[in-house]
Amino acid sequence: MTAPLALHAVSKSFGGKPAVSGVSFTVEPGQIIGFLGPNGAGKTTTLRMALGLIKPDSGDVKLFGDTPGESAFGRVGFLPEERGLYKKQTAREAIAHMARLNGIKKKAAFTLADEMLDRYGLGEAKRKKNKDMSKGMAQKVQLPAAIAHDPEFHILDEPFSGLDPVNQQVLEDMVREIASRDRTIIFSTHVMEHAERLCDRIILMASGRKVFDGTTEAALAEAPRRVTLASEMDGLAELVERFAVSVDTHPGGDLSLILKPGAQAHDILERSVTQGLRLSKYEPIRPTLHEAFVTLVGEDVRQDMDLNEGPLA
Amino acid sequence: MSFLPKVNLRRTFLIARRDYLGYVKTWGFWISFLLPFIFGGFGFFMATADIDLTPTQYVTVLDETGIHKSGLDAMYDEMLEDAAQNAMSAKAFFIQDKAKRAEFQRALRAEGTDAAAAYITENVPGLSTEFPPPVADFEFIEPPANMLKDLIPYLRDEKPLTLDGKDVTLGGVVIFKPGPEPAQPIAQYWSTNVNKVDAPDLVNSYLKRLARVSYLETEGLSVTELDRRVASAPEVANFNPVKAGEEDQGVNSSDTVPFFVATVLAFMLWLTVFSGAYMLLTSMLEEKLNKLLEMMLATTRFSEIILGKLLGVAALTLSMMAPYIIVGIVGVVGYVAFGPDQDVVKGLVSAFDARMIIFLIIYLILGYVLYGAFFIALGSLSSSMQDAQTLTTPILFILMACAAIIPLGLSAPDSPLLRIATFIPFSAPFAAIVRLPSDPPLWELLLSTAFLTLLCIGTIALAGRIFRFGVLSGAGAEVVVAWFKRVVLRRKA
Repeated sequence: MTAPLALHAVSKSFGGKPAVSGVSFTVEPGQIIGFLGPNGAGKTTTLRMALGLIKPDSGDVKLFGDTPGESAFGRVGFLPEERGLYKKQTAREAIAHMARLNGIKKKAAFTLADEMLDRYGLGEAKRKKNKDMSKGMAQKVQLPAAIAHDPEFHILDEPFSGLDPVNQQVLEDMVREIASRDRTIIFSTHVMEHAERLCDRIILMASGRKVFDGTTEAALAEAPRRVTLASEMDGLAELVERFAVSVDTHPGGDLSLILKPGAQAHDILERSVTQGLRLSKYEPIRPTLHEAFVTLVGEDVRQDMDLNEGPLA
Repeated sequence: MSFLPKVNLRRTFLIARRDYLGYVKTWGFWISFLLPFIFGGFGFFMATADIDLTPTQYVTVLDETGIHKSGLDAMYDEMLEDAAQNAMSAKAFFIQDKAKRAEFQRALRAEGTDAAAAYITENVPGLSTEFPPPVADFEFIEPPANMLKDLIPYLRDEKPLTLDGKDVTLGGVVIFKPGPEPAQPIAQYWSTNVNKVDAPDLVNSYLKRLARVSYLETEGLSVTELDRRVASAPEVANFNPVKAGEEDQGVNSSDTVPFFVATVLAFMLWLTVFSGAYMLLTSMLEEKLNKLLEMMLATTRFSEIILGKLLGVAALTLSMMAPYIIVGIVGVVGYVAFGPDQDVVKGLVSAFDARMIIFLIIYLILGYVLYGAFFIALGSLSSSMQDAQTLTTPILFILMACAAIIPLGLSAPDSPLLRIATFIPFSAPFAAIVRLPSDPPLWELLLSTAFLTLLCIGTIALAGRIFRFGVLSGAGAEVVVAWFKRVVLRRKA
């Protein structure tokens, strides 16, 4: 089966400033891929090149094995980062219009629009004009509009941005529903938690370069492993020294450790039992993609991006 | 590789349809569409409701000389007779026979309305001699007091004045005082309404007439006879050498009507292009601000969006102009079928000849595409209405200049300026149309069309690039400069 998307050494500069540098990856059918990175990491530019909206300066892009463009019309659903609707259209008209542009007949397009709005809990918006909808509702209508034609490949650029937590959860459910139909999805976000919950593969971008491509578990394995310990007995700090890269002591006496490569939290537990040191707190901290990202791109790069392009969520 | 961009007709139609319906569903469209009917209805209502928008002003005369009031009254009657002659002259429109029409006009000018009415009764049976009676803007009344100081309270509306049982206001007082000679009295006009000068204008005319009379009649000449002779003086006959081979070489309505028609058509063309292009700009800006284009571009070609918009707004513009077009067509066809003046009929038929219709369609399409493509490109580069106004100002100046040259078609259709404008693509549609009645060489029209077509193709190609750049960038006027430097001048940022 042809890969929906394949990028090979793709680069793009704007006004001499590199936006994307030598990025390569392949999206396999049926995958849900999180395309992660802070603002300005090159995610949107990469996705636009994937669709053929802008041409790369160098490298090669294949969409369904072909040059991006007409051959993929109807097979791709694209939700851009900057979104909107025709103010005077109703929700069903907006969805039906996009469906018709993708080749669906008029009557079927309106039936489909009604079904989708009902399915995604937006039935009340059917005959509401877009200008009369709340921002959150309008954003939720845009996803059905982008995917009404049931494309094989969904490219969603920052689908969660601007939504409150409740609507983010609704949108997550929508993405899961699409994935349940064996559709391929790549979505960009700078909020790592969405990717952690939804993706079976992540691609991390920083400063226009790909810094990681693999499973979520593999990414998390790159993150520093932490454990918090406490004991009412003396000697805990000495006991943990050999397992830790760094040890922070909290005001209450609790110790926060970052484990050395190869060291395991349960090694500390075994050692304390052997030495008769009773622990009053033993909390291995689950690593996050955020920590993995910091590790992968390096602290200097992260601080630089925080300063120039806003905080990394 | 194909020279023309590929388009999917169904997608193009859907984009055109959405643009069309998007505007048709607005109040603004229906107000514009119904405007001619609203104005027509309002005009009909005003005409039939007999509402007096400018109430008659009442003026009185204090004649301390005792000799000028009667002269002024006679002048007032002449003024009413002139107005009646103007109203009566409209009857000439319905007299088909040229000789009878000329004789009617001569009788009217030289002998007055009664003689003209008698001529109609005798020579044009069936044509009514009734005409709306002339209404003067002011009326002379007897003075309510004989001294100015006693009239002032009436002028200030401090004292009531009753006329035929109706309360009225005294609008003005004309005073004649003895001057150095009887024919040079001192005249004054008193009124609180300083802008209404109908009465003092009549007094001035009277005083000028008085000067002529006093001079000529001391020499034994009659002013009345002089006026009669001036009114019945022969007029120059105009001939056109182009018509040398024709039976009637004289210039008449059949020769002048095509120029008027071409001027009107050029203005209509200008209006269509201007309003269409401006709607494309706002439509493009709406898309840009709605952030919908990027989503559409995943399923639609750039060329389809541009073409769809051009077609949608073209249909919309034609819909908005439809009432004017229909009224125009009905008027022209109606006059050609039933109009009394055969010279005008002949002029209308020759104005709408095949060449005019063909070139009107060609220039309408090319002019709309040229300006439309420019406005689409500029709309895609704008991120706000302010941006759009800034970017379109130079093109609006060009359009205004084009409108300014259209009237030249009436007085100087072969002026060098119009000829040059025919070859400049921006002004070609308007300049060529107004020149058509003067039969410009065909090669000039074809060359002008070729230049315009080439620029249209270039503009669409350029608009496509600008559109592509503008839609996918944050845009704004400042990025135009950066884009120009980078893409056109090939300079690095």
